[in-house]
Amino acid sequence: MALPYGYSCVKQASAKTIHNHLRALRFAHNEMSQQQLAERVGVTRQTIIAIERGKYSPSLEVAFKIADVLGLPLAEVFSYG
Amino acid sequence: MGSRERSILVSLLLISFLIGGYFVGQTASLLTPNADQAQQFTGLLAPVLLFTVLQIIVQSVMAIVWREGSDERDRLIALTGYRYSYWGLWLALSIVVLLCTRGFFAAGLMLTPALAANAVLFLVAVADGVGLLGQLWHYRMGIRA
Repeated sequence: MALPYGYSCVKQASAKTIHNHLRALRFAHNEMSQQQLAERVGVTRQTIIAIERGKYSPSLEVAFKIADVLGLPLAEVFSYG
Repeated sequence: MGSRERSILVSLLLISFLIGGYFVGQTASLLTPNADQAQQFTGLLAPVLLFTVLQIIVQSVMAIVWREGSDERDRLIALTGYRYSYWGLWLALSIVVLLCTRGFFAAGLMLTPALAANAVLFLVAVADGVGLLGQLWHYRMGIRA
């Protein structure tokens, strides 16, 4: 049985998650360590680890700070899909 | 494992061994009709005081040894832990009410002040334990706002 239009939209939207290439970008940025990035962003190293593993989606503020430290636009660090 | 996780794990172990151990050892005595109330009350103070003192000492030492601040993720996990604590409180309250209605009165047990104090400690300990377990779970498995 086909699902109602609205339901499929909701399911499709909730399946999307935030992805990032933080680990690769850190290494590309003078092999910056997790600790260095954490200190410059103002979070703990555990939070950087959680973000890299996809276990935590940072707030907009932290996401912008990470992009700023890496000198990249936000869309190159984080993607949604 | 981060410092916050270690701190939560230590709190959980202290609650399990001190408060949990107390209830495991005292349940039979607490459910005995006409038991000595004064002894029940003083028996309750020992684990509570020991837990409080040990918590202060251990958490202070850990804060000095593993100097690491908290951030938005820690705050989110702590808030989620509080939410789980309310579920723990509800669960513990259900157990206490069930014991009161089915076991206590059938056994001729009166709800004395000492017994009520023990029930309150049980509620708080279970609620706190569930909250801490929830926090540990989210530190391990991740969290999304």
